[in-house]
Amino acid sequence: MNPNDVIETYVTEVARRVPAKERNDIALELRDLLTEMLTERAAAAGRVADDAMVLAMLRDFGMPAAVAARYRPPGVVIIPAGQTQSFAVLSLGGVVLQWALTLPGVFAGQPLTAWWFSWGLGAFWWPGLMVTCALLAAGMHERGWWQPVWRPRTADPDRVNRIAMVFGLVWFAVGVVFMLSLPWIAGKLPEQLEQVFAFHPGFLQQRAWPALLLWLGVFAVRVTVCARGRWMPLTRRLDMLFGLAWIALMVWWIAAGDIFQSSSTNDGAKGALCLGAVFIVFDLLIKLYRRRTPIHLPRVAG
Amino acid sequence: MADPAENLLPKLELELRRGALVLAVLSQLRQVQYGYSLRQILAERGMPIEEGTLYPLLRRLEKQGVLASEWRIEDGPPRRYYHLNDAGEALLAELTVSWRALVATMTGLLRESAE
Repeated sequence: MNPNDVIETYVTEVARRVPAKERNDIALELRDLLTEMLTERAAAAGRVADDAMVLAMLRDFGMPAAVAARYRPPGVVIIPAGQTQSFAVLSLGGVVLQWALTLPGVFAGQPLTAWWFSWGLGAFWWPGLMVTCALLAAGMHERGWWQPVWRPRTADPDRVNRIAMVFGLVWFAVGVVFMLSLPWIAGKLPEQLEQVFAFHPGFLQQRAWPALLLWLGVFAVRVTVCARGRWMPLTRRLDMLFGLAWIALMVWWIAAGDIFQSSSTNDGAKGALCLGAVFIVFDLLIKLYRRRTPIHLPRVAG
Repeated sequence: MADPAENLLPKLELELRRGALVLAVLSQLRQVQYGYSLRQILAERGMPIEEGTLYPLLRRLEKQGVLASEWRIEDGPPRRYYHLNDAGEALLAELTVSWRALVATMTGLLRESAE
């Protein structure tokens, strides 16, 4: 192969990767540059340019794609470097969570192929949505339509609004009383409804009781926070621990057996528990993300 | 173990040179030059630039409106010749002032640190 042919091939490879409007100019300029460089190399080596020499020169010059990239302006950043890790964790975590919630069906007898073509592949809607949102945000940012401005979230993120918290605690207590009364309420309903809302005896006898402890624990933490008027490191930690315990309990309830006697109510309740567990996971993630980074005093030498 | 400063030096030197690249190129384009001749002039004067960097830089500066260019045939293949336009002359003058101020500042800082 003639050295000029090698240069021509290289120039063509670069040219097809640069903007069409500038392609011809860049190709002409690049061909001239490479020819001059080769002449210079041959003169320095004291021999006629051959294939090996032109190949070595072009390899030093760089891959055609890298050379073409130099002619393009720097691209738009879709996911900033500081957010890459959390983006990867959130998008892959979303897929894994959906799989974790739906795969048990396969172990219960659902065909794997059916799962893969429904929830298995379908779970990728989540990273797709995240990438689409990131693309939209980058596009808006690039056009100047959206320029995020930092604002302090609150002057003191540990302070609580006592009135709102008392209101929340009252509703919390009402909700717990209602849940505890559910078996009794179900017994008072007309016969058809009673069958719909009747608890499975095994659930009430063996699996329901930890909820009472967790409700009491959460209630005690919230009352302490309300009384002090602010979150303390211990109450924050306890709150997160109770969150984790709720997730564990919900997963146990979903996996261990029936909650209601009616299968449709049972499925609905388990679906609601799944959503509740997902909500608590997100809540915990947000709490971890917003946790204050402690700033320690430096070690002073001497 | 390798001296960390030894590994760092070429990289930091390259960054220093990169910062001065536009000014170096503009300074030599009061006279009309094509890419290869410009690269040779800069190399002869102690400012070697990779060809793969110089040509895209010339095109970028032209797009930014500080260089003018035209194709010419002078005893060889057609070549694109570049030179400063009025905006480029003004930019060169302003950058020269900034460069001299920076050099003066750095000279002062380095002198103080050496004392």
